[in-house]
Parts: sequence; C-alpha cells; structure tokens
Amino acid sequence: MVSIAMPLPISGHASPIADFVARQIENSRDMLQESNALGFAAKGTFQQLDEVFEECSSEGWDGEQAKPISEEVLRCARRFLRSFPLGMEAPEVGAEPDGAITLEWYRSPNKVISISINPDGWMYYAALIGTSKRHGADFSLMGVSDDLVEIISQVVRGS
Amino acid sequence: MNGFIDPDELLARYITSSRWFRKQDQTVKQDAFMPPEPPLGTPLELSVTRHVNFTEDDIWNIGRGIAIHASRTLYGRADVKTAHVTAQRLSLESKPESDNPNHANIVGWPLDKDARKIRALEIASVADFVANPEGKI
Repeated sequence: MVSIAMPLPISGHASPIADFVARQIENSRDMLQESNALGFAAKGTFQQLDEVFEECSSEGWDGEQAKPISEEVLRCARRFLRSFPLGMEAPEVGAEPDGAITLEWYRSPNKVISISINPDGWMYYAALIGTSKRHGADFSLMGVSDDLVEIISQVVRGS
Repeated sequence: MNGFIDPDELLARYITSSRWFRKQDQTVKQDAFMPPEPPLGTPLELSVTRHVNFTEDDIWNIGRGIAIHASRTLYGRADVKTAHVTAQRLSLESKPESDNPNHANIVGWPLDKDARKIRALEIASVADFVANPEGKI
C-alpha cells in the first residue's frame, strides 16, 4: 500500500502568516480527502458516514436502548478521516449502541481493527492480528497517529 | 448466573442493523456485541437469548417480536457459545422476561471502552451469523 503523509494542523501559530499557511495546508488536505481519487470521498466513505448518521440518529435505533449518533460525533468522524494519509484503504462505517461511529478494516475474523469515534471526542480502537491483540484510546481531534496507521496497515497488508 | 450453564450452550444476539454483519462473508462485526450505555448507576449489559429448550422457531419468533416492537428489520442472529463469553472474563445473568423466558444479559464489562471493544471483537470473531430464514437481507 502506498500512502502519502499529510501534516496535521498546528495550533497556536507564531504569526498571522504561519496561521494562514497552516489553514491552507489543512484546507488542501481536506480537499484532497474529499475529492481526490486517492481520498476517502472517492471510495464512498463520507457517503457511508452520512448514511449511518441517517440510520442511527434516533433513540433506540438498534431495537433496544441505543443512543442516537449526534452531529458532533459525525463531525469528529469526518475530521478524523480527513487526517488519514492519502492512499489508505477505506474503512467500512458502522455504529455502536452507545452512539459511537465505528470504522472497520477487515480481512478475516482474526485480522480486523475497529475504531470507535465517541461523542466526547475520544476514539477507542481494538485489533486482532492473528494471535496478537492491540487496544487503546486517543483523542480523535488530534487526527490519526502513526502507530494506528501502522496497525491498520498490518491488518490490510497481504491476505 | 444461577445454576449450571453448559459451556456449549448457545446464545443468540439478534441482528437488527444491516451494519452489524458483513454481507460478503456472512460474519458478525464487533458492533453487534457492544453493550449500550446504561442509565447512570447501572452496570453495562448486553441482551441475549439462550437457545436452551427453544426450537429454531421459538428463537426466531422472539427475534421477530423484538424487531416488530422496535420497527426494525431482523437481519439474522449471531450465535455464540457461552464458553466464548466467559473466556472473555464476562458472565451471563439470566433475566427472564414475560415474552422471553430465555432472556439473559452478558455482564461484567470493563469500564474502559477499548477493553470492552477487544472483548466484543473476540466474541464476534467466533460467532456464527445465521440469516433470517424469512430472507430480509
């Protein structure tokens, strides 16, 4: 898999020019992910996000006590996805009963990673890669970490 | 749970979201095994139905009832052995209901969500998806 690393936004810039440049970089990355053939938009991921939001935005959408997916979670998921390196395989989008949006990369029941984007801005992940297990938490607004990109790559790499 | 539970006893988790299973290979996603957030002060629990003493028709009828009550589509069910649940350091609590004497809850979920996810992922990896015979997929 070929992936192109894009810089994450930097806050607290030293000057208006630095702030402008950072904003331009962020906008460029967003445009690429939203429109480029390499981005998630072209692979239908953002459309899946909207569909999941539509399906799961009411109380009890699972037939039990599921919490609705909020617009805040949708925004966090969009922002998180835009932070991915271009060229990454697109995830399948889903939902959990606690109101989280899930992103899943899957090869087999024992080669899979699921990431939850939660209403509080936190994201949680769990992965099975053969006999090894990985799980953890991070702040989704910080974008995807190199470590997480590596775990996803291990899942999707090969068969 | 009270009484002996055969580790081979099957538990059914009804699938009422098309996004809880993978159509390409008919496998179950961890999303189906994540417990909903409970009201404050109550523990996390995941609703399941025990197969014991039920016929296939009984099991499907319970699922249809749940789906109809909630205006949802019943896509199928995920069957998993009790032993796979207890292997994740979770336990089963029998909670019979008037319309489902075999209702039970999977309890003992950890507070950290990533720890819950890895358990749900492990359970989903050994669960069998059984499509609704009425063909709602």
